[in-house]
Amino acid sequence: MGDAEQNELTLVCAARQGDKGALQALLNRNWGWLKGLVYSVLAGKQDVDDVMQEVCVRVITKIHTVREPERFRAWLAILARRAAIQHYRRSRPEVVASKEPIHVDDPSADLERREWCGRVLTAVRGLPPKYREVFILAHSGELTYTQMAEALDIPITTMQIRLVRARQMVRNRVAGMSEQKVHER
Amino acid sequence: MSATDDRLEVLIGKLLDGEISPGEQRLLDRELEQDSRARTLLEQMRVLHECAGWVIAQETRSSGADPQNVFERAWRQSKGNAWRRVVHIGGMPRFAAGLAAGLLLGLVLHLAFAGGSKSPVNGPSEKTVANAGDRNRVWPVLERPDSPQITREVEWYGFTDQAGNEWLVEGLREGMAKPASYRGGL
Repeated sequence: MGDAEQNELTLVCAARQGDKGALQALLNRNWGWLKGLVYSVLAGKQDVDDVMQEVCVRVITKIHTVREPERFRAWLAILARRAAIQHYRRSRPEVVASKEPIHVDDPSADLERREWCGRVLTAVRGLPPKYREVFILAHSGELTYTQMAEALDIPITTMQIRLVRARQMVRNRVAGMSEQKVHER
Repeated sequence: MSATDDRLEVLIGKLLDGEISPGEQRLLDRELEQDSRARTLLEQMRVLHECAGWVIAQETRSSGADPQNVFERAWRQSKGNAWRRVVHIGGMPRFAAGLAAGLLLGLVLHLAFAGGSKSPVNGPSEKTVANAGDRNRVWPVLERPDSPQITREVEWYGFTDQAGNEWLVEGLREGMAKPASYRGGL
């Protein structure tokens, strides 16, 4: 077990005793991938912050129920996914994934890159949920394969297969969009 | 796509994600040297990986509310919820709480009134009870606890016991019988 994990274990134990600072530090550490997971369930940016707040409330009120501190990430992922799914069902968004390419707002990026990234984002949003969450977690760059498998509560081999499939789907969709664009021209 | 292609994609994916082992790295290097399709795939996946990482970072990290603020709001909200959970009870718990409160109030009232209504014994006090064994003592006349305005019909009986002592017995209409005073000279 590395220092970071040992530290996280200590934070979980302190948070279970009601230490606000430890709880905040824990959430800060896991914020990036957690938000990615929520984002992947909602299939877009809408209400992500609302769900994140709901996740925080649940963590604060239920942290004392964590029985295995070493499986905190898995517990956190389940909690976040449930909150996001409940929110998704309640809000019932009309459009989950737009077929139109999404334009990424970054003035520094050149036009071609922006178009390309917009297509990638569109393709990611259009992935089936179980592939989308693996893809987004993998590209959030914060978790190792082992940690991702643990967070998603699936075997590591299953996670790797899903990731390969997700990448293939995104690549094919982006290529399809590019071909369509060439035909339109 | 063949199983070989799948395996190649797994290896390239691991390389891009920084999860490749030394053995897998050697295997991938060999593939890349021998197969131009592998090199093309690596290039495609590298571009996709960079772009996806950038896009997802844009979507999740560079936008939205500050985590500190979100946490503080959640903290306040959770504390409010905890208080409401204590105060707001409904359904069966509320009924049970009401019932318990009612019973408790009833018990308190019962104890208060029962304790306060202990009436003094109106009958003959210990000082008026005749003691047949103490015949020579002069006993005081039994005082009526009732107010003088109230007239009650009584009947008086004379009684001589086996020892020859004479007794005056006061008989009340209510069917009560209480010992009257005894005077040795009666």
